[in-house]
Amino acid sequence: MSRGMRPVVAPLTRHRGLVRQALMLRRTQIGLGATAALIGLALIGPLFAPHSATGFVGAPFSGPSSSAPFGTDTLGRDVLSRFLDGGRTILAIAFTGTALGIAAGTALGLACGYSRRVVDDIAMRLVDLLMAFPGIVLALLLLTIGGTQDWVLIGVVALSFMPYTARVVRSSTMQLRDSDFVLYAQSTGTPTRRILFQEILPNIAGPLTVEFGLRLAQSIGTIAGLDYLGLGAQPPAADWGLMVQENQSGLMSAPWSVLLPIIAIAALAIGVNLVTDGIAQASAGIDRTLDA
Amino acid sequence: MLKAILLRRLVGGIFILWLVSVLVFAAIHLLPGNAATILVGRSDTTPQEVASLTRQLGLDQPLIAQYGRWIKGLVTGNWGTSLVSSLQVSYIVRTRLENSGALTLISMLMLSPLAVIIGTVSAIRRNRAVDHVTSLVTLCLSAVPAFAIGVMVIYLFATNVVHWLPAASILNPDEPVWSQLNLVIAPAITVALAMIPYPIRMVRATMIEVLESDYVMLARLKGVPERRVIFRHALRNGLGPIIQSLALTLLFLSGGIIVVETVFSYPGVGYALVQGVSQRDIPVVQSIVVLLATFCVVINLAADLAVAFVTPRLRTALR
Repeated sequence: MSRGMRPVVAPLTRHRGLVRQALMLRRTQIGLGATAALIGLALIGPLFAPHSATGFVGAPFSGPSSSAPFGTDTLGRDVLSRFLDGGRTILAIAFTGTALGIAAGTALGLACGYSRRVVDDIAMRLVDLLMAFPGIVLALLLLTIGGTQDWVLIGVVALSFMPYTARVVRSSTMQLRDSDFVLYAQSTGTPTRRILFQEILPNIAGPLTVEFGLRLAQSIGTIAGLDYLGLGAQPPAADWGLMVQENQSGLMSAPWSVLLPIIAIAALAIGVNLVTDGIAQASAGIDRTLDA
Repeated sequence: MLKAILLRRLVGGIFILWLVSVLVFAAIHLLPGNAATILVGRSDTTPQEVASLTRQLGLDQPLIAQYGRWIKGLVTGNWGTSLVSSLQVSYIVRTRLENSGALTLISMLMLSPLAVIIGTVSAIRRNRAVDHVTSLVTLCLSAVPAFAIGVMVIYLFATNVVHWLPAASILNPDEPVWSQLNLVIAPAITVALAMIPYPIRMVRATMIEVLESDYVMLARLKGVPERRVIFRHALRNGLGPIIQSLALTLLFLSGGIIVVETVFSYPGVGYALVQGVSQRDIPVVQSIVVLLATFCVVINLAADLAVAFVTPRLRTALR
């Protein structure tokens, strides 16, 4: 079949409109600002750290001073330097894990939604199984086996979100399966893989973006939580989740050592959620106007 | 018809439990090399130590026999011995189960009425200020991880701002948890705050749908007072989905208390699980994971039953 004959994928333009429309909402703007600020802080913050993240600068839990503006932590290390250094790993692991989970879930969802066979049934039963109990239980089981290593954490995030993405993608795919442009592609002998990735995938970009944002916010929380439980980053690493755990006993005398990382985690997760919510609202609005 | 559906759910639940047991069992035994070597986990392990642990765990027997023995133990209450404390796992779990039960119960008692009230008010005052504030607050609460909410509760109510609550929930093991409920309040508030966004959203969505339905419209047209419309007609018809969303909340909550118990050093099953994972105490982890999975399956079944009983149409079908 010749390329020129392929039907124009109209929703691509709709998708561009989606981003623009989402950006007009105030919550998207606020969320985007917060997210960008914290990602920037996590990435280039370490360059501005006054001290080494693991070096000792004073007595444990001492208050703010000129050399350590936010005081020192449980071992007498500079809170500000550790704070500036502590976001990168959380971001990297959360982002990689989410991307992997979304990719795997999308592939599974596309395959299941498009085929009408037993594969779909079996895969969806397995998805039900994974969704039958809280993700953290599975995470803890895997961490017992694999130990606290980065790739185990990435796998944990990917595996716990994969079933949810698979569900969303599967139902969107099933809606598109019998649409005209898919039937046309089938009748002109387009290879199945091409139909899945070039015809169907661009059309589910909206729900997929929302899904990615939701899961990213969740995995930031999950990774920070596992770090807090002592099952993620290991001492003496500087890490927002681990910092909260290490300094919780000094909450009264040196509150900044706990508050700074908590504010950062909260602002990052809320920021990503606000952007996602904006996109979801814009996408619902666009769908409404298209349907009307 | 309905009985058949419930029966199928029951069989499905048992099937899921069987799969979980295989997964939990296989997970430990798919470890590369001899599990005992990894379990001891130190470089200065003597071969004798490994051999004795291998025997103790029954790792020298065929896999099927090991699985059979493990399942038999799970069912008969012989859950093995903790590798760290040498206590019976069933003893560890039994002493902590009541504490976790108390925390779960009190959190649910706090959040369920609140979620129904806030969700209903948001639905009635849809797109007004109350609704917008609620949606923003639930969005923030659902984004912030449970441990951060817990530490903020400690900061606000225990250590820095006001001193109303204890910062850690070290229970006296010789007294029942019900006589020291003051230590349960702070973790319960945390669990309630962390878990409330989902039921609020579900109640709101359900109530919006019900309030726009024909029979509510008819009741209003007949001149039934608004208060009566909401309580008699709308809430009662929305009860099924609301119960289902609270059941799902309970299911998520069983994951949430794992973290919250750790924040407050609350001696529950979740804290035991986290300690088990960080010490790689495999028998403890295995037992608690299976226990939590069983809890979730039972909750799912109970929710199906409860929905069948409160939905008039389904209730008559059950007779």
